[in-house]
Amino acid sequence: MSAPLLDIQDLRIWFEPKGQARKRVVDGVSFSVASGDRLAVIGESGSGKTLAALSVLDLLPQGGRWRGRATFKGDRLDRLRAPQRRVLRGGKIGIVFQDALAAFNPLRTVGSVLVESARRHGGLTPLQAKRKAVALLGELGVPEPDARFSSYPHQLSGGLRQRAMIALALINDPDLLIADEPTTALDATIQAQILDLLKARSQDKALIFITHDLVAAARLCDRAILMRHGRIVETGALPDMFEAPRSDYGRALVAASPAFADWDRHTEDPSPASPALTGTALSKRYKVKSGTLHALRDVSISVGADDNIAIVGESGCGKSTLAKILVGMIRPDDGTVLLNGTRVCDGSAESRAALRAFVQFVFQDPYSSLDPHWPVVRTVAEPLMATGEHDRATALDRAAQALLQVGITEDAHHRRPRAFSGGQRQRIAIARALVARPKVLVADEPLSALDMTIQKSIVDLLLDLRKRFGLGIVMVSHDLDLVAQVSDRVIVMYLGQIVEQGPAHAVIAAPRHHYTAALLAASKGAASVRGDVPSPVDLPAGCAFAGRCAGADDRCRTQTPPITPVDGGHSFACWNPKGAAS
Amino acid sequence: MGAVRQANAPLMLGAAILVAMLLLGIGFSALFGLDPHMGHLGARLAPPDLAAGHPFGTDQLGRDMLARTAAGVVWSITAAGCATLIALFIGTGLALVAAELGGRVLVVVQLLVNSVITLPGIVIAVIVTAVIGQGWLPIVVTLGIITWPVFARVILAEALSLRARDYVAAARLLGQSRLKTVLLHILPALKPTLYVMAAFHFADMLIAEGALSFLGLAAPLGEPTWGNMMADSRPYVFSAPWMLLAPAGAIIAAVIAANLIGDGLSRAFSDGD
Repeated sequence: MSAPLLDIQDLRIWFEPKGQARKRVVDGVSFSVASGDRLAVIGESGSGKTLAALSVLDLLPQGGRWRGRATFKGDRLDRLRAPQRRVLRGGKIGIVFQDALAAFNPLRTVGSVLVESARRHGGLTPLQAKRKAVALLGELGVPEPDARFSSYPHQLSGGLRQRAMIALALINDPDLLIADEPTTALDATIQAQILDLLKARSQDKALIFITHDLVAAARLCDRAILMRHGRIVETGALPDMFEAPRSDYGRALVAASPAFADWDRHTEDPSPASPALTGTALSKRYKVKSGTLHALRDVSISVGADDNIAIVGESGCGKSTLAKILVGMIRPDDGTVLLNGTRVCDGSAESRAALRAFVQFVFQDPYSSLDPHWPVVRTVAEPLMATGEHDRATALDRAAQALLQVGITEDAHHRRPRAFSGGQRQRIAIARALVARPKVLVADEPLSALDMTIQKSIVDLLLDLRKRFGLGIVMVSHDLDLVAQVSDRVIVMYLGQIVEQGPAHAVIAAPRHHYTAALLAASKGAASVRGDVPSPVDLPAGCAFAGRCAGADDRCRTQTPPITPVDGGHSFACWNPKGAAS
Repeated sequence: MGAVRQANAPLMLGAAILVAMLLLGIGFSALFGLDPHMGHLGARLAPPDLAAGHPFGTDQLGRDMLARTAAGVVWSITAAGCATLIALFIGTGLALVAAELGGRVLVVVQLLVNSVITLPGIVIAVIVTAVIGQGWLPIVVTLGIITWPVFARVILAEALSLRARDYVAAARLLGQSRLKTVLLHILPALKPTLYVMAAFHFADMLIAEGALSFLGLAAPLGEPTWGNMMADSRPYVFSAPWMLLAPAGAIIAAVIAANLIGDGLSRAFSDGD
């Protein structure tokens, strides 16, 4: 290995809030990268991974301090004065931030920011800088770079914005690229494109890739350090580290990651019992400035009391809208929801009561779904007390039981949500959904706000509840890989429509729709489709996926494909399905 | 949250000043036997003199300024307090109804807020005085119904953002009625804002009442209120400045106390979070 480009030894970072005790967040971390290296810094939120990588560039949040020996190209960073380090930042060291929308100034065009950086660090004239920026945007796969140069950040899609962010990091041809969770805010198929881009553009540089995503790390990097609680728990080459993790934490993390995991698969086949909750031809439209947003288009679904269904798709595909229509939170514009043959989507008190007895809902974000002012036991008791069927004592008693069932011990029942972690909050939210003893639980992305190891424990909890109480589960998720391993039936949605559905094993083993195949590939870290999800306001004619599909022909672009059944409840909507020739 | 956890210096100091002023105002004439209405023509415009029994001096009719200032406490503080409460209840009530019902109701309330804000307060007070006459109740009601949009605006914005929280949607979804959702989930979260706003609004009302009194639009002439006393002092500003300083000092002290309470409350609530 050549001499390290960036070498950090015994890095310590702490915060000293006014009048409070010193809080150490990174403790004795050492790592180094040489030119051509791609190092992944892996850890869950709060592990100190971002701080460790960005501290030496003076990018600590307010109140943060660091000590340690940091060498960049032979210069001791810790001995440089702040202005000298500033020259490195954005010059010799490029940084890709997690959330490009937050990282760009909303009042300035993307191009002006690029030009500013090129002029400050590269000493270019405005014209040279602009030429360089436009050329770079083009190289990074931004269509019409001339026009995009003058766009404001909010006018770009998430994928394009992240490309612009990468352009900003690369514009001064840095020796070191630090990417801080660059794909976390993006949809699965876009994530894979960005990872490929980073890999291609970091060939002659050193790359530090900060992530919580093992699949992405394995795809992009050749070495990894694993951090927890501010310390390095494991260092190793990739992908060996994931195949045989040496530390306990490494094993736990790998076990929790769906792509590597061996979940306790629920193998029972969906029973063809008569469905109890059925939605037929559901549509939902929203009026927006530029026209009509089609959130849901002619979708039918049936949910039985012992079903275990997953609804999968990228953001904006209508999966949450569908779930919320099922539980009565949103009223459909067209179509009906029937519960045992009775219409329940009219918003009347009777239908709402009937729905509540059958199905309960778990919100996506446990940080906002619990009232911060209420002790959690009272929150869990609310469904019983609100309807007036139970007196306070009985309700609180049953709420305590429900909390115990989800693993919240008695001593914590009277605390407020603030005292709980994200995983615990989601358990409390699940307890609230369970306490009225519904037949089915609809959970809207219940894992997306949680860390990987916590996700596994919540999935285990849901499966355990299903086993113990015969609870039906409808889980909304963007992670096809995960749901494939915990659900019996999978429904794949794209732009407000169901493109494929069927038994989980059949859909995973032999996806027929190109979009399902693309999602599967993306979860394995492969980029398989180009472009962005089109806007649900100006829907393309024909198959909604045609614009991004490798197998699309003229018919796909003009005619909507019909739903074609395969066998065993497996069906898809595609003119040229995968595996059709064989 | 919900209640103020730890007392802090500004909060305690402000509360102490207001309580002391109120006690003095209620108990003064009984304690020292000085009648704010009783004049001594032999001791007109007497300068402050503790030995003579007039620590704040006397006015043009020889009435004791300390007794009059103390008597003004009750009038001013109750008027400002009740005006604040009226504004708070109207403003918060309308804002919560508008936020919950949305649609046309929301538009109407917003329109109402904007229209009332444009009304000139003094002109309204003149009209009220002309039609109903002077007095404590008319001025309190007038101040309350002119200033409620201050609360309505802030509470409407907060209530709308609270309504978008998942836990409010969750409460509705699990069968809680609209009224109870508002009372149990939205209103408690507004408490810090309401307390802090009420304290600052109280300070504004003290000044507004003083100004209207000064203009002769609030208290009947001769009634010992701070505004009236300041109006009385006009011809004597240079010859008997204590006639101005006593009521002005009282207003300043009360306003500072109310602002201290507001600062203290907002500090206490932000610490609690």
